[in-house]
Amino acid sequence: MKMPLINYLSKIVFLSLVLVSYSCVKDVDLDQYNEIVLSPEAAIDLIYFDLTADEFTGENGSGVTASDETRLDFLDDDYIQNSLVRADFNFRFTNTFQSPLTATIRLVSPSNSVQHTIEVPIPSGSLGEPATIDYTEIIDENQINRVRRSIKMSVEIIRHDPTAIEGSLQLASKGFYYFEFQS
Amino acid sequence: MRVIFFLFILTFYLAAPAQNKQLLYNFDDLPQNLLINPGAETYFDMHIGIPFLSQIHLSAGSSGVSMYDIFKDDQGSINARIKESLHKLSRNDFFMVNQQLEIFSIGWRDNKRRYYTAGVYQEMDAFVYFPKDPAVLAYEGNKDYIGRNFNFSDAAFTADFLNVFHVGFTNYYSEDLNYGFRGKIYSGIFNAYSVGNRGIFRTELSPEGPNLYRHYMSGLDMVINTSGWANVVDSKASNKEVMTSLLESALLGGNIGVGLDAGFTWYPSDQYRITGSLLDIGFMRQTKNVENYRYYGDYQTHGIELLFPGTQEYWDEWEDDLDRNLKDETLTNSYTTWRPVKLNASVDYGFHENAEPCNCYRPMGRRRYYNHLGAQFFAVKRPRGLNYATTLYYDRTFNENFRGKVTYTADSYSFSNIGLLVSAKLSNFNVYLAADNLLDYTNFAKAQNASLQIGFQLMFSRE
Repeated sequence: MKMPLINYLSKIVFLSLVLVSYSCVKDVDLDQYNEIVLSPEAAIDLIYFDLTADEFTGENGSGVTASDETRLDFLDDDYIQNSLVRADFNFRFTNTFQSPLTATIRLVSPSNSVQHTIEVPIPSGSLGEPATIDYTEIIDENQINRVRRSIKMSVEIIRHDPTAIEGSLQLASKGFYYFEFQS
Repeated sequence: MRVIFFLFILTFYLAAPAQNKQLLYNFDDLPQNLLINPGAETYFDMHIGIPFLSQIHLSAGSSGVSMYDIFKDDQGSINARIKESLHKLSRNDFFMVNQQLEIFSIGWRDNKRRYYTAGVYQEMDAFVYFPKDPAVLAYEGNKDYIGRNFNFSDAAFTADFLNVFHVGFTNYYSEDLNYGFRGKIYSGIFNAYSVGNRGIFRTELSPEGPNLYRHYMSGLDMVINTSGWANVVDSKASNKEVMTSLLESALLGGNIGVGLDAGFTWYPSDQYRITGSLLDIGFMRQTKNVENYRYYGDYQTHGIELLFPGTQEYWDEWEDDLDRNLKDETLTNSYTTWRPVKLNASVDYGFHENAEPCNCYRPMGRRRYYNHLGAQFFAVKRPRGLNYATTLYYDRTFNENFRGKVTYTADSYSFSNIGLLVSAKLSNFNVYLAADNLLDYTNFAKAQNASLQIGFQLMFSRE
């Protein structure tokens, strides 16, 4: 009676060994983990304004000027610094001044040095027929360091005819941010 | 973002299992059967588990995706496969791990044929629903989803690490009916609980508004409750202090709960047997080392308005406004967690009578059979409802010392789960081994779940 029992036990052990040795993880390549890239694309509002004639407080050779700037602290965050690969900035101007304008948007570093300049000429419009300009600046992989080095966005508007005080200039803007997070 | 990324990847690594022990259920040669049905019959008069070895149970599963789906070695790109899986999985898909280790177990029969049990086991149970919307947002961003809600209620998980002290008995009510109960005291070591989160993130076009989009965070309320965790991450504590506090928690010095198991076996006729059990009807009060992390509020924004010349503190004002509206808090409020209640029910049919002489101390004045064919139903309560499994089985006693069982199970993971249990005795020494999903055994990467139980114990009969 004892022999069959030992036989049974040894069969169980054998069976377990067979199971364990045949069981494995096949046809998979776990090293692919290193190739995993998360590439989210974020669409986020940027700045906006509605600028009237009385806010043009400066002057230069080519007209009257209005300027302002804002810090964009998120540009300094790790996910921008390490993983932003491309940024598309889209600006939509609506001009009802009866004067051509020039908008200059600058990305500025913490030490106030200009990293990137976007200049958009805006044609003359009127209250009845606003001039609209839809301008997109694509900052690709080659230039993306300019965004990473920046912390502020400044805007300067020149109204070339100082006498055209009727109307306003509106800006709406957004950014598409393309990330690549790697493991 | 990194954290989300890490969790996202982790969910693909963690397989999620079931707590279904379809192989041990109704297997009346093993005392572990009593742990899943305290009203089960037993064919021995005393048992002593080999400490730490009487039941080692591991089970893991994933309802929607396997390791092979993500990491298969072909020409395709892993990122394309992740994306495909991301869209295939739903918010009700889940990942789960369950592990149990019997530390100590003992049982004996009295002169009235009642069987008493006592013991301690350690259990780890983690259950994570696939956080579909947050995962899509992290993986793809909002750019292609303008006008769509991302719902944060998709995020829900529970994790428990505890010791269970239990005593139970099975009463021989009549020749046709056994019933039994087990009382449990739960001694919590660690708990994390995040269920009932809510909130919506949405970006929509804003043709009437001052800017191109409007971003909303509406009705956000995310809470992660933890107990025991603060102990482990206390940076000031030495390793020894951490170990001491963990040990205290394991030995009823931490968070405590109580629970009940109940079950029965009924023979409507000689050859038919009906059994049922409800397990872990119980709760835990999480009062010690509790931390609740909460993030809540409502916010909407169009971006930053320049005022020419303005204050030039636009960013700070924007950020202050954000912080005023979306707040985070760390609290120490006690909370209650309910254990995942499990239900088992079965009907089986015995044939090929076993004419070996019976032992009259035991409650089986009935005919016994070498073969049983049966069907078993299993359900476990999870935060968003019940998870089910149905099993068909064939249970075969070869002789007094060797018995086996084969199961076919259909559940949330697959419709092709074949399991096998073998149990052998050498004198008073018993060993058993049970494993399921054998069809995937040649390549575990393709398995969406698998479970394994192994144990060694001493069993005695009075004959």
